[in-house]
Amino acid sequence: MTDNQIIGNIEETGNTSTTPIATTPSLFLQMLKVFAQNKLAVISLVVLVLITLFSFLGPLVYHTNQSNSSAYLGQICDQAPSSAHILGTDSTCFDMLGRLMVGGQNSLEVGFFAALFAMTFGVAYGLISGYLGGWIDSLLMRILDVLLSVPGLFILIALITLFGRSKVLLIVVLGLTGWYGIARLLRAEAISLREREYAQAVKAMGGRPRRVMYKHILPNAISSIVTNGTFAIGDSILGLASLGFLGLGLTFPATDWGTILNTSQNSLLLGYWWEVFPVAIMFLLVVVSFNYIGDALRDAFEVRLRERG
Amino acid sequence: MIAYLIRRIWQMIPTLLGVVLLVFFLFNWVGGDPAYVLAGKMASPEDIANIRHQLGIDRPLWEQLWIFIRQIVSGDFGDSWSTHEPVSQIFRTRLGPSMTLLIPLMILETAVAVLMALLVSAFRGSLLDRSLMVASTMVMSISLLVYIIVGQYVFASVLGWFPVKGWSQQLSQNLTTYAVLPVLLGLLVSVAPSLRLYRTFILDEVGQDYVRTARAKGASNSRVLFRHSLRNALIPIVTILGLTLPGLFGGALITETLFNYPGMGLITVQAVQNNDVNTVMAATLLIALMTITGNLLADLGLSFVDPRVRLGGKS
Repeated sequence: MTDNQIIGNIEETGNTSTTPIATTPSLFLQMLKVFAQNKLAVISLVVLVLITLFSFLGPLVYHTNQSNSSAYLGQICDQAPSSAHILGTDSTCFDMLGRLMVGGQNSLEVGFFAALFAMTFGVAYGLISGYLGGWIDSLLMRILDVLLSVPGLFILIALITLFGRSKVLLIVVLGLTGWYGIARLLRAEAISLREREYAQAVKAMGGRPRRVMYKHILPNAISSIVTNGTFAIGDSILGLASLGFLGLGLTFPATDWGTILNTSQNSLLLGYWWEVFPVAIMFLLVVVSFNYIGDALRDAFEVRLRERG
Repeated sequence: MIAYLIRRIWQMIPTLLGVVLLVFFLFNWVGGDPAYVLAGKMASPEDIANIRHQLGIDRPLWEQLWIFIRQIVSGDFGDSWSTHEPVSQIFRTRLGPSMTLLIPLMILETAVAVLMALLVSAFRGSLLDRSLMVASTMVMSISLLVYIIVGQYVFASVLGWFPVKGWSQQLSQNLTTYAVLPVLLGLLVSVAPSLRLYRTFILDEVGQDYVRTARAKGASNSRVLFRHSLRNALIPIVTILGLTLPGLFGGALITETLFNYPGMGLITVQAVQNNDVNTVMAATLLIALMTITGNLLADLGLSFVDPRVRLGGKS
């Protein structure tokens, strides 16, 4: 990022010295402008901020008991929305709105950190494979072939039944199955970039491979990383939902949106709509937002490509 | 052609070995002791030792690996740890129902996605293109779970167009009644990502020189699209097809469970819940093998369409 900005700035000053009137805005501002022009993405960003605030700050305003289910002994569960429970209660008597907040915290946290983990691992794997090449590349790609042949959900199931279901483990396990795509992309990018003149120049000047990778190839691949990272958050949230459905999500009374959906599988058929639609809408809003933002980021990064020519 | 086939199968061997090792170690070496779980809470140490011996997990690891490889080659994976039915027997009866869902789903998905991709590429940049792209992002952002829960309620329970869940003994009845809703809901999830991908494949071709040449010769729009662009875009599309298989099987876990559909997905979920490691292991391996075979078939299909692949011009 910084390297590009510097390159951009140098180009700029070069421009301004010859034609003082024309002041091109900085690369970052141009990208920001392209992003801001995409109304859908801006709305998505606002929605995401609101949902994050709702999940993390909501419980400070709206107090509910979300940890001790025995406090509800003898009460009627599955209550319809009322003034006492704005979104009703679920089959274990927990307040649905409070449940959404707590579930949202876990879904967002797991989604974000799993994506971060997957991106870090995938980027390193792809860079090493693509830049070093040779037998290391062949070996790493064979391993990736093997992993791609086994459905991710099965690997998830195996790892979780073996290691348990804490939040940290869910993050690691989701991250471990989410890096294949970005690794392939980064490998392709590293292969195409390592032959570029500037990478060759650094090498000729005695720069070590690690320096070439981190200082020169990585910043050039930033667009793929950021865009894919954004999509990966959405994917991880959906992945966590699938696990929750299989009963391999967080353990009761902790919950996430997938687990909420799992416990309300039959709710619609019983007429308890408040146990399904609010959480389904939250899901849709969050994942859709991440996807639209990813699209817009890709367009924004294209500005840079256009400039490079 | 034969030379290509041999080379391609030769390349498959390390992947196959890798998959066997991955599955074996994933379920054996890293794992806890299933005997404790199977024996229950009140078991004595002798009971546990007995179960360990029955399962064969008291033997050295390399011996277990050898047994596993022999099982794969012979196709006999022993008995299920929970139902005591032979695993191979379970798969034989469960593969059919899964395929009744997956084969129509794959065919429909490919057909619908290719046709829609052609449509949006023809009207590239128009309102239709943009709104379909926005809509597809939205459609693919919804969890399959939500689709099924809401779909069962709306189409089966309220409107009564399909049975909510179930399965019969006749293939024709399954295809026309029970499989329809799961396939349609699966289609909803899987078409959108494919559409976006295929659209870029086709648009990449539309920008090529040969398309301009064809236009210069006076070829009509539809001829250029179908005869020229589509044929070339099919190359990446067929390649991708093999890679979508694992995702489809993953989705089958959820679909079959919610529709109470007696396929591979449902049996796997049940096996996971019963700690039936033997069955889960065999199911994982079987699906991985099917994926590898699927990729092989895709590559072979490709070599028919595109001689460059067969002749090994570029990797």
